[in-house]
Amino acid sequence: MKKLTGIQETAAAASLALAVAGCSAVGGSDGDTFKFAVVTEKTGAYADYGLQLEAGVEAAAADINASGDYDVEFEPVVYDCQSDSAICVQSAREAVSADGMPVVIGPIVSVDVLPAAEVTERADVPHLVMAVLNQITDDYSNTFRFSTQSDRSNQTVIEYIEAKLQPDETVAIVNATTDFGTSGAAQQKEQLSEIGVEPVIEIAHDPDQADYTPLITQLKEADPTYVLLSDSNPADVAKLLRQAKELGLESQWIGADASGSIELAGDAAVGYMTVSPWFPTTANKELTDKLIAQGIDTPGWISAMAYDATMALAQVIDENGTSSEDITEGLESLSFDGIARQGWNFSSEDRLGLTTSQIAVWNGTEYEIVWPER
Amino acid sequence: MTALLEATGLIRRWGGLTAVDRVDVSVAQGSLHGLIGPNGAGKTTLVNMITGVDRIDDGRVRFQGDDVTGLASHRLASKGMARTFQTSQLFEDESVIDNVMAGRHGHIRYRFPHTLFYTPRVVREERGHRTEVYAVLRELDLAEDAHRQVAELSYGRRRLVELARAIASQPTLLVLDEPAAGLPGSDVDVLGDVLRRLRDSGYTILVIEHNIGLLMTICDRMTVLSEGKVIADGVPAVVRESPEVIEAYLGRNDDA
Amino acid sequence: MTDTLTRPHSPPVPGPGAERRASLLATMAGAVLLIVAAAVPALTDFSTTYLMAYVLIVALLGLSLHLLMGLMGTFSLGQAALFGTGAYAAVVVSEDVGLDGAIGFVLVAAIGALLGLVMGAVTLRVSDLYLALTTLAIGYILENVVRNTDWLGGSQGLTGFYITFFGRSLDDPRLLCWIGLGVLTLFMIMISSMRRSKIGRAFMAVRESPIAARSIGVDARRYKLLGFAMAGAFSAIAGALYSAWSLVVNPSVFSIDLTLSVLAIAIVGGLRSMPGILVVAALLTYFRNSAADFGVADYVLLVYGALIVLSLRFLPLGLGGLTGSRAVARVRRLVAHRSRSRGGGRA
Repeated sequence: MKKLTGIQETAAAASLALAVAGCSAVGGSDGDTFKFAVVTEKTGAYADYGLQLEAGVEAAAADINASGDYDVEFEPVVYDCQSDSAICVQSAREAVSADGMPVVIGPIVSVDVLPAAEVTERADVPHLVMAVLNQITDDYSNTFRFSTQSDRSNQTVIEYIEAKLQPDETVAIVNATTDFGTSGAAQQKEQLSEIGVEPVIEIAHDPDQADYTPLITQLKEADPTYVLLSDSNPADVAKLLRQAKELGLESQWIGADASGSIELAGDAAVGYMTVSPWFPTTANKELTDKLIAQGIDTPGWISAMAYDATMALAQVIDENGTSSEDITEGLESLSFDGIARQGWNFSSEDRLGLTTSQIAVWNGTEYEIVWPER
Repeated sequence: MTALLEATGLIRRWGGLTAVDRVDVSVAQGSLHGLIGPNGAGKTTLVNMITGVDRIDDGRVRFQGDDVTGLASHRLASKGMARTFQTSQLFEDESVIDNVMAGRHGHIRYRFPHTLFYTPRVVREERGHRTEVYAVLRELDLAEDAHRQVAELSYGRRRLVELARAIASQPTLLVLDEPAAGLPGSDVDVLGDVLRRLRDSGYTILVIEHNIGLLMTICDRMTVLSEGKVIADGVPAVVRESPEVIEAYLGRNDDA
Repeated sequence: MTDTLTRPHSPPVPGPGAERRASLLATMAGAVLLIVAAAVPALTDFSTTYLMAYVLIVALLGLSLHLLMGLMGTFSLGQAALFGTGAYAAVVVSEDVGLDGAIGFVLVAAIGALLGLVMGAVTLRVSDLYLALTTLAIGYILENVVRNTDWLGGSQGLTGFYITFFGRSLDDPRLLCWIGLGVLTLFMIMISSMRRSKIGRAFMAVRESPIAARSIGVDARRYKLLGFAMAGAFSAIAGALYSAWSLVVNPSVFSIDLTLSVLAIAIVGGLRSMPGILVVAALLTYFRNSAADFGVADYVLLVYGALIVLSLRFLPLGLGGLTGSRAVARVRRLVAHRSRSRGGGRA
């Protein structure tokens, strides 16, 4: 055997080093198990949402492994990023570098998921997100949304109004003075003007108020048929609904999904309509139970979307392979009907996710879907 | 003898109360001048006015022949007026010499940018000033403690460090606010010796005290305040005999 | 009655010679530490290097508190305002002005110093609680302004930017670490040389009492402004490095959370001790990042709070205060004395 030259020696040493480094990487597939990263807010201010995301992934992984239809065992590796954007960045880095994860799911809140997406995009790692913010799929080429972008949810509300609004009926817009509230109200106003409707009144409020009597009184004077609410603070939504009921406001409220607001509002939530990509209705009982089995009391859209995302991921790796490139390629040509929602269609240009949301009314015991009409 | 410091007609009002009421004080060059009065007589207010800490409602202050009325205290300090306070203002966790070096502030010429990288100029100047500070420490018998943390010193020696810091600024007028406060009796005598020695080596000193015994023995001249007004002014022997002083101050403390 | 004015008989204290030896020793130890720290990024993995860079950023902020609170005695809650301004300034300078970090960071430091000056000027006449609240309010104002400025990305902030240094992207965490280490070393040298000069003594005089400081000729206002300007420059540089580190800058960089966690580090480490702050910055940042691994993620704030309470109660000068405590001082003096009696020093 020929003696190794200096360069060859270096190359051999380097490949040995790489091999050693490869051993320490835990992500991807080693033939039997497929490990992937779930970076989520398990603790801190957004834990309610982050835990939903985790439950959805875990429920799907359990189903995938139980089905026996796949060659590999699915093993989500969960990183708690503590609702802190700096830790979310660091967790995403750990996932894609030290741990060599081929794909990342989460986190949920936009201030956490944006920096995580910066990390995954630079590392060429596909990223499944549930955030409703437009920017998250507009600005990155590696993100795939498993939910409905906020302007499309608002569009769903407007479609409902267009179908239902009688000539003598009117619409009001109410929003919290938060980023979510302000941008939601602006979108709704624009979309309303496209169907030729001018809101009778627009009220922006500080979501930390205790007394909404002035706001409700203003609404009573304007007496709109529908009140479109953009407010993501559950306690605030509940306060508005309760005081509206006490003061006898008759309007139909349609609000964005603020998980927990129904429980907090109690009786006042009866008749309240919410727009969301998914509802835990009787028809969805099977999925709802699976999610509850993962330890969350009231499954919401986040857990259902995370469930579908993980199921879609299973299909992708089954058809394409387990590397980052394989997964990206598979997602960019994905056409998948999930358990929570049908019609997940992605391409390299369109990674926005669902085109429509649903509207459901709370009848006091459960949600009834009122839109789209079946 | 010319007056180094001359305050005339000083007035300070706090609401309806006139804390300092048309006070004249004249401190002669090279003298050890005492300012006494019972608690609440307005001594500290008067000193604060003279040293630029408190506002002057009316009256004038002349220092070294210049009108310095209302001048900020750091400007007065750079003109040569140094003072100490009733309570300690030292850096407890720094060494004695570093504390006293603070008194050299106005004499150090290097500027901020030099200090960022401790240029040779800073090294040179610091060394020079340290030598001078050592001399002051030796004069006050503090040299052996130069590198000790202030917090480790006894109360009395800390007061000496404060005095050293004021002296280190090479003042033309040294204003001491109750230097004997809190000192045990034997120390008061030592302090008296120190002050006399300083006067003999050429310092002009204005001492504020309510300890009348100390001032009577060491002062060249005294001004007695009571309820914001000057009730006596002159050499201790004369002041001692003044009926107003006996009534306002000594009279109440026959046993003192 | 005890005589407290005359000098008691006690072992002589180390003279200037011993002091010089001690500072030489400290410098050498610092140099060794620096070399070791500089080697770490080359030897460890990507995410550990990033974690180290984050520690350095936090340590820089800690240093600015050391300067403002430890040396100058100004209780400021405006760290995040300065930090956030630096973070945004770095992106604007790099993306919109197109400057390389080697020049850009100097500009960022100048912007930070300017804001520090403004902060100092606004709080010139207030002290203590009012000063703390005013500096805090400046943070709130900036956060709100940025949130409503579309040019700065509004509430979502700025993303997708690239900061370079000498033409190389700071996406390389090793480069980020080395720059952070360089800046930290530079600032430490600046602070410690300043501390041994008239500037440091003026800061300390202002800390003990602005009135007394003036009486020894220190223009207290001028030094307060100087301190704020320097703290502003340091914090802004920390913010600039944070931009490169986090890849996204949003209005949360102005948040009180950041100020409070740095405050906790400075208090536990010792406001007057640079080494104490550095050690605690490393430990607490590692702890915070790995809290989930220890299973205590839910109790992070509790741990922080408990550390603050315990250190205020038992170590008011923080961990760094331990080295200045009487027991340690006594040992140090004994050692110095022994070395001197062997003929090393002079009185």
